[in-house]
Parts: sequence; C-alpha cells; structure tokens
Amino acid sequence: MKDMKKKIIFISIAASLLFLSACKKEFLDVAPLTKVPSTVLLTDANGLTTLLANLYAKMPMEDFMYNPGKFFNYHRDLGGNAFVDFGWSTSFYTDESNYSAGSGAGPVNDAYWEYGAVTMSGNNNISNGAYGSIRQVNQFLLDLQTVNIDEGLRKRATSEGHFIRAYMYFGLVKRYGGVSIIQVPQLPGEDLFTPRNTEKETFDFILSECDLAIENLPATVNANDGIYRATKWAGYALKSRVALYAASIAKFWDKAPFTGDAVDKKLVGGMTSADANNYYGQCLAASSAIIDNSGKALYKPTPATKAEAAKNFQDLFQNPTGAMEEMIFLKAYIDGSTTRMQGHSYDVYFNPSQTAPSYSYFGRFNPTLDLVDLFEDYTDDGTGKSVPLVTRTDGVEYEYVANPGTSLDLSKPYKLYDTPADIFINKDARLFGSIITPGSVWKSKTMVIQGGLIKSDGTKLIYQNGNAVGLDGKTYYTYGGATGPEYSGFAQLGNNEQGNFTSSGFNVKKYLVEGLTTITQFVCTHPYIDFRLAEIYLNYAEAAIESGTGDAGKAATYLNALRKRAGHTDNIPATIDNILKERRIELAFEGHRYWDLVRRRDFHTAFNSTRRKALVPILDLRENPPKYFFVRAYNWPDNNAGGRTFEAKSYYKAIPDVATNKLVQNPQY
Amino acid sequence: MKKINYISLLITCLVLVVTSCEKDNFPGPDAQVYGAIKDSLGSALVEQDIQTGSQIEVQELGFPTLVSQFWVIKNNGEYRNNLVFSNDYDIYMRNGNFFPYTLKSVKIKSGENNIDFAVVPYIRVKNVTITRNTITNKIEASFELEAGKPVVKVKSIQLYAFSDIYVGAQIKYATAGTGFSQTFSPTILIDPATTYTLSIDLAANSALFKTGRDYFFRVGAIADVTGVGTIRTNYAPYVKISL
Repeated sequence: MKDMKKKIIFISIAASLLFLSACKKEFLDVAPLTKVPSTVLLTDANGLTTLLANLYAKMPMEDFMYNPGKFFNYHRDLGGNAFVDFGWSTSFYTDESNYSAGSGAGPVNDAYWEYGAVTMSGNNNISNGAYGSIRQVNQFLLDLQTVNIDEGLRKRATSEGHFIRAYMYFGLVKRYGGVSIIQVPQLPGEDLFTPRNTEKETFDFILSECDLAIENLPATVNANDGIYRATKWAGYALKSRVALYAASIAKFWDKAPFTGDAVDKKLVGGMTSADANNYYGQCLAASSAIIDNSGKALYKPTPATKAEAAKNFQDLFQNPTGAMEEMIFLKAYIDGSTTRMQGHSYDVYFNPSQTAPSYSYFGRFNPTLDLVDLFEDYTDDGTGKSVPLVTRTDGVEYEYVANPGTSLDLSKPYKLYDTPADIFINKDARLFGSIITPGSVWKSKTMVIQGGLIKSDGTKLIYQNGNAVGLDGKTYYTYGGATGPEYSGFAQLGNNEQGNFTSSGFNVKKYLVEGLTTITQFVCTHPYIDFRLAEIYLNYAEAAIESGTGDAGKAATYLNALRKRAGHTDNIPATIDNILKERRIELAFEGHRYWDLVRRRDFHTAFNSTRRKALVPILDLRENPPKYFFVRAYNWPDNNAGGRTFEAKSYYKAIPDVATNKLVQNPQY
Repeated sequence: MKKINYISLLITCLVLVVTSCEKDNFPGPDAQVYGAIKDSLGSALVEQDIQTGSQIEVQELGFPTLVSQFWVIKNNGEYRNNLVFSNDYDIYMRNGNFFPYTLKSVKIKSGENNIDFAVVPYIRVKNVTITRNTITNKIEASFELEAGKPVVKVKSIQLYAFSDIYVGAQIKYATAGTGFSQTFSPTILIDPATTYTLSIDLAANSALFKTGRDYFFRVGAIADVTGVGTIRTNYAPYVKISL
C-alpha cells in the first residue's frame, strides 16, 4: 500500500514536470493541414470562385429563405416550433399582405448584426456576425492586392468584393443608421473599438463602394462563368437603390424626428435637403446608366390581350431565367433534398389549401384588400387613381366590418354577383399575375375562397363550419366545400398551426410555380429576383419627381411602360402618388414595401393601431340560383389583436452590446 | 474501517461544500425611487400611457460606457422603481408628452428617494366633461386645449374608450363610426377659447359596449412641436361610465 502511494506521487510529479516543460512557444503555431490559406487559394481560378461564392452567400439578401423574425438564410431543420419558420416575408409586416394566422408591423428582428447572413447549421450558429462577414471581405480584398493571379481576374474579383461589401453595409445602415466603417481586417492588439460613422458618411461610403464595384465588373456574364455573378449593371442597380434610400432618409427624416446622443453626433439623421438632392441625383445617374446602356428591356412589353399580360407577368416570376432581358441580379438555389441546408420552400408554405403540397403547413401568404384596391381598372377615368372593388350599390366603399362572424349588417346594400370572380373583371392584369383571387383558376382548379353563407331564411352562418340547403334544394357549405382540400379560405381563424386558409380573401401567386407538382421542404429552386429593370424605372421616376430634377418626361415614359406591359393603353401623369402606387403594384411581395415605408417614414402613420383589410365573399342562399356578395372587413388576426402599431423608434434598431463595444446607442434604447 | 472511510469522506465533502460558498456576489439594488410627473404650472399630475408612453431615461454614472435604462410611468403620472442601485445618475426627460430637459449627476441614496419632475406639458386638456347622452345614444366629450408654450400646435384629438383604467392611445377599442377623432392637417395653433367636442356612437359599436358594464374614457391630444423627438399623447384624467 505504501509503495503504491509512493508510485502515485512520483508519477504525478513526473507528469507535472513534463506538462510544464512541454509548452514551448511555437508548439501550437503549426499550419493546419485541413485548411488552405487564402493567399494560396486565390492563386487558383477555381479557388477564387469558391471563396467568392462563400462571400456572395453572406450577402444580407432578403430572399426566399430570409425570415425577418429569425435569421437570413434560415434553414434550421430541427422541427419543434420551427414548423412555419421557412415561409416568411417582410411583406407580412406591411400593408400589402399578412400572415394567415396573424403578423404584426415590424421591426425586422433578423439578428443581422449579431449573426450576419449565413446559414444556421442545426442549432449551432456558424456565423460570426455582420462584421465577421465584412472582415472576410476585407481580408479577401487585401489578399487580392498581393497574390499572383491574372490581372483581369484580380480586377474583376476586387470589384466583386466591393459590391459585396457595399451590400453588407447597406444591410447595416438600413437597420442601424450610421455604423463603424472598417475597411481592413483588424488585428488583435489594435484598438478594436472603432466608433460609429455618421449616417451620411456610411451612405457615402456605400455609394463609393458601388463605384468601385462598377469600375471592373463585366457588362455581361455567361452561363459558363455563372449567370448569377454580379455585373456592372448589378453595381449600378445597387447604387440606384442605395441612393434613393439615402435621399429619402435625408428628405423625410423629420417626419419621425429623434433626439439624443446619436442624433447630436449625426449617427442617425443629420442630413440636409442638399444631401437629399445629391442622393437623388446619384440615383438618377445610376438608373440612367442601366436604362440607357445595359441593353436591358422589359420582358414582353406589348401584350396583345389582358389575359396574355397576366400570364407574362406570372411567368416573369415563376421562371426568371426565361426573362433575362429584364433581370439584373438573381440568387440561385440548389435542391435542398439532395444538398443539405440548400433550396427553399416558397411553394410549400404559400400554395393555397386546394393545391396543398405534401406538407402540413400552407396557404400562409395572404395579400390584403388594401393592396387589391390599389390596382387600376381598365375602364377608369385615366388619371391613374386606384379603383376600389365595388361591393355595394350605394358607392360606400370605406366601411369595414370588424368581425363579419358577429357583426355583419344585412340591411346594407351589398351588390350581388353571379360568381366570385365577377367583382375583379377589368382589374389590372398584374392582379391576376400576382395574386390568387376568389374564383380564379390555379393549377386547373377554381379557387374556392368563401367566408360564409346567408341561409334562405336570412340566418347568418359566417366564419364557422356548417352547411345549409338552398332554394334550389342543393346543400351549400360555409367555406364553399365539405372538407379542407375543397376550399382555401377563412377556416381555422386564430389557429396558428392550422392557419392554412387565407384570412384576407387572397393568396399570393407571384413567385409560385404553377407547373411544380412535387413539393416538399427545401426542394424549390427557382431563383429569387434581387434587381430587375422595373425597379430601376420606378427608382428613376421617384427620384426625378421628388427632387424636381431629372427628366419628368422620362419618368412618365417609364411609369407608363410598366402599365402598358400590364395591358393598359392610356398614359397617366407621373405624379408622386401615381409613382408610389405603381411601385406598390408592380413590385408587390418582392421585399420593397417594408423598406419603402421605412425610408419614406410612413410606417408609424400607416400602422397606428391599424387593422389590415380583408375581402370576405359570402354566398347568399336567399337568391335562386344563389349569388355572391362581398364584405369589406378587417382581417381577423389584426382585428383580434386590436390593430398593429409601428413604433417610431423602430426606424432604427438598437445597437447590440453597447456596454462592451462602446458604441453610441440609437435613440430611445 | 470502510464505514469510517465513508463517513470521513462525507464529512470532508460537507466541509468543502460549506466553506467553498463564500458570499461573493455584488450587493443588490439598495435604493427605491418614486415620485410623479407634475405640471410646473399648478402641479397637477401629467397623465401618461403605461404602454409605449413617456419614460424616464436614466444613465448610471461611473461606467466607461453609459447605458440607458427606462423607467415606466403609470397612467396617472406617478412612478416607482424599487430596484435601483444607489449612485449618481443622469436623468433625461425626453420623447414624452412634455418639453424635454436633462438633470445631470442626480444623487440617488440608499433607501427611499422621492424625485418629482416639474415639466411643461405640450398640451393641457382642460375642462373636460365626458357623459352619456341617452337621447343620441352617444358618449359625448367636450373640452378645451391650452398650449404649454406658444409654439405648440395640435395635430389631432381623440376620445379613447376601453374596459379598464389604462385607456389611451395604445390601449383602446377600435371604435367604428365617425366623430371620435379629429385630425388637423396642416396642424393648427391652439386657441384656448375653442371648445372641442368628440363622440362615440354606441349604436355603431354595439359589439364593444355591453349594458351593465363599466367603461373608461379618456380624451387625448397630440402636439406638433419641432426639434423635440418623439411626441406622445397628452391626456385629461379618465372618466368611468357605467352603461
């Protein structure tokens, strides 16, 4: 026993001595054999594109896999509460659509600062934040200066780096205002506490980055090289978008003013009307460069019929690569069922109930009546004013029923229609290209969207399961069919998990692929359109009219070119109201509306205990044969929540961890 | 022998457990602060919203980076925070419904501290009567406005209704019909001689208002002042009406 103890003590001492002596200084400084240093990687053309692909993937693009309440590139596939997390859009936070089971009005909470824009792997976050991604671009740009590669490749890759860095900083400035501009990889030991730059400096930096991007990006990309890589025109397009954003902040900041440290230091706001005009000017120049020199053109600009116009507009989104003449920058996907953490699920969550995929959650993207009312009517007065749907015979189209299930007043003079589709006759073709309306045909099925019925004795049966026999002796159901797969609207209101039926009366069509039959999680691969010519047209028009500079005639031409592509034959004047309305219609559900409300500082007035609107078709069995009327109502989730409010302070998000990173906090946080 | 070993091991562990837990936490909050937001003219309480209303913004001094805390104010203008660390604080009264100002290096001592804030509200809502008119079947409010300073304009006025005392711009029924609010576009200078009237049509809101229950009504006005940040609603005290 004693010997044993001695042995143990001896071994312990020996081990300690060994341990202490083993730590020579270079012991851990061995180059890892599993990693290739960037300087080596960059000497090879394939290595260069690999690294570039990685950087492209870190751009904060609000695409199909962006969840504004969670993360960018959100593919976490762990089940649990995540059952609907892969089908979200910033659109749900605005007045153009709502999530079927209810969605508030911003602010985006995508953790861009903390987690950057990279895929989550399982539950583990493998990103190191927006600045982690920026550091990688900084390192990339630094290495490119010294590495031995073809000069053409070096120049192009450098410009791509600037394009990506501009995009990343734009992601930051939209959310946080002025941020620290860091252009070189910082090293440990340096002073890492870079203070925030002003909002103006940040915008100016992004615009100068766009210029550096434009400098050496190619005018065209070929299939061999990758059609999804940035061109010169993508650089101009980003510049056009950023400049319009900056100009709007400069012009409209005072609609929601702030006070405090960040304001005094101009980290947010502090721009003048001269700045606004400068940025509008830059937007006009960048937009003109694309319109005049890129050779880009609208896809099928002169349809023969309205039906053709609707089909063309639908095709533009279900097959963007078939309309490359209009496309400026796209994001591609590969099938996630074969390559993990890839693909998207747009068609899974957003197909209406009647064409539900083989997955339990669908029908979630519900365009609002607010948006549907905006579309022009081909028989209107030609001024470009929106024409609300006609639901009543007394011309009152501004009354909304809080909850048709309990408070519908049948004494109001509702207009009767033979079919649910009749109310939409003569509406702008883009309505049918973008939205699945009641009574329209989708995937060879007539869409049944019905909120209830009036029994032949005048009893109301609305927002509840049931059926009744009509005067013709036939049985009719409240939602238009006996079971879920036979109808697409208004059932299961307030049930998040079962929220597979539209609560607004409409489903989205834009970007859904009509020919897609096998639909499961992450198998969708149709590309996301980040920039297309139509946006550039509208950027030009808005900048021209808001600034009073630019060519107002061109603004009208571009505005009306979009309308003509939608089957209109007249011209409307390029007033700011017409341009903004056109923007909401043409670019609906493409991720613009949220940031348009932010940059023009309209969010806090648009959403002040606001309830978005729904159109509720009701079958009237007092008529023989039965007829339909339409009730203007507040959508069920918003009404139930007592309306939605956007707090003014949300125009800027809180800077995370200010106690540690020593940055000045944004107002009211 | 084995038993003794086990017992001694157990005792050793217990001794370690007892001695290892030295109380090394920082001391907890030791101060309580309470008070009210009072009108500098006449010291009436300045009514607030409990949700997204005015807040008292404080920064505890002595740290390299100062971080704001926000103390919520009750609807009637009183506040209390029982979990405060005694120290020196900067207090910012801003983004509320009164003219902003700053108090530097305010000493908050251990124990109870009473700090009242004398403020100039943007708008005073005065001479309010809110009654139920059984003939018209409406809740009718009449009131006058007074500007805190001559520069103040009024942007909108509204009669809010809800089922409890927290009624206001954030917590309210979405009432139907017209006449319960008025928006001034462009905003107008305040004439103290004008009497405003607002009303909520009970018939048009029969789904919200049930006979035999109590409801709470409050009149609010939103000011238009430049250079002061976010402006929140000014109120008169609520009125309870049993229907």
